[in-house]
Amino acid sequence: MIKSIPHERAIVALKSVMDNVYWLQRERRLLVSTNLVPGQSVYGERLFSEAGKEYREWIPLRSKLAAAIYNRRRGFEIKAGHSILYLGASSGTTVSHVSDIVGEHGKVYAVEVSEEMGTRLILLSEKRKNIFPVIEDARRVDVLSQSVPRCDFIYQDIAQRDQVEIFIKNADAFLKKGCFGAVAIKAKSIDIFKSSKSVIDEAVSQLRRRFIVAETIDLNPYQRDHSLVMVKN
Amino acid sequence: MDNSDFIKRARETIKLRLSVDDLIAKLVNLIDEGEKAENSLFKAAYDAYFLYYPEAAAIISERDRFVETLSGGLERDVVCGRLGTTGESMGYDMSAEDAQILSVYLNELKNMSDMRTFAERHLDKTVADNYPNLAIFNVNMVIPRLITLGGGVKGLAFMPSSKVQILGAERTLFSRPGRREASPKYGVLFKHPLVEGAPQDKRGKIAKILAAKINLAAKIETFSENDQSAAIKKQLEDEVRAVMDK
Ligand SMILES: C[S@@+](CC[C@H](N)C(=O)[O-])C[C@H]1O[C@@H](n2cnc3c(N)ncnc32)[C@H](O)[C@@H]1O
Repeated sequence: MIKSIPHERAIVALKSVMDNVYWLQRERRLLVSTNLVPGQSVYGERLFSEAGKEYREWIPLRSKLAAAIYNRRRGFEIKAGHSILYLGASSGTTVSHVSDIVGEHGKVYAVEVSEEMGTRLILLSEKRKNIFPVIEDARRVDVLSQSVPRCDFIYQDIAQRDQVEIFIKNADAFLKKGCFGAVAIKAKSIDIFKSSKSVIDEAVSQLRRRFIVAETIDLNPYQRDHSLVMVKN
Repeated sequence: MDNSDFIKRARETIKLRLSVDDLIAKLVNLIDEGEKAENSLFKAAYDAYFLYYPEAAAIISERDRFVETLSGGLERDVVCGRLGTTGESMGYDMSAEDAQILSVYLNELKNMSDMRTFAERHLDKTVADNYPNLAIFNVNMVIPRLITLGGGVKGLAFMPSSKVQILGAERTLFSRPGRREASPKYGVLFKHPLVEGAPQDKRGKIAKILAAKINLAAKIETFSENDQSAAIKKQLEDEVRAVMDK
């Protein structure tokens, strides 16, 4: 659902986090991204304007990438103009912020398998020209490679048992050498009989066999039982 | 390059994925969910009607009979003639307004019941129009349910017939340790009259034959689309007879 919300007034100060992402200093700090399509809120997030520019609140309870930025207190290696491969795009909540970050010269290749979520993603792509929707199973690297080029960053959030293998396959095919990727690990979805920690440890050691693991970011309390693992190719 | 090519392809992908099998699955779901709603509304309506006319309610406590009987009017003087129940009810004397409210709900119940019959008929027709080879097995929504559980006709064609045989079998939630559960002999197929009507000791065998034929029919639908229903039907009858005569 895309709706317009009356702008909240008076921004005190903006502190840069990464390209097109800022801490908005109010009574509490608030993460925002530059709105690529001014006037439009994507999922009910608030809009703010300051000096002729518009910003969208990036809510950590709704987006794992935002939660990671809150907990890490730093941004990621995603820059304006980058090509991003996003696996598990869902309806595009987080995708829309990545779309803000890479801006009009960047591209977000957004892969989603479900028809229902995919439909919402397509509707979002019609409003945001830098989102390139692909309705496909992320495991089908052969199909993806017919349209997706090599990218500067891969983000994956698909909550599947074989999520690490899927991530590695896609990194092999699409991630440029020396570039970063991040994979959200949902501890519970892989194995309900293992503790969250051992599931995450296992995923990390699996990733370590293929990448340099740069960091593991616990997403509590915003996203329970989730971690984000950052790797370098 | 803008994203219009991707949007076009994404739309085509979704369009291609949505098939008559999805329609069948959605209709099965509507019918099942509709029937659940019908049952819970029936329970409440029955209780309300019992208050007013317990002597009649006690006789028509079965859902379809209840709905059918009261669809011609719920007042005691109307119903007593139809059921031969007493006119001197021990029930609570509802006002005309109370009865009016109750009749609105009863009417809704009747609509739901008609809707279900209508949808089931339409579902049978959809199967017959699209899958002539499978249609010969379609009684009591057996084929639509198998299509739904099997992931489409293609799914039924590609799975071993032993799996078709047990699709929809109730799984025991907690199997007791140290005790081997007997594996199920049939799931949805139990609803087929050939299985349901067979003596206990032959049901498993009949279900196995049916499953093999359905699997074959699904393969024909998937790979050749010819109508070979007459030949399949003949084979089915022969094999079933051989089991029953033993
Ligand atoms: C937790 S949601 C993602 C939320 C999203 N990343 C966000 O923050 O807005 C997971 C999504 O991954 C999708 N998904 C699951 N398995 C997939 C697969 N194999 N290929 C592509 N998408 C998949 C699901 O349909 C679901 O929409």
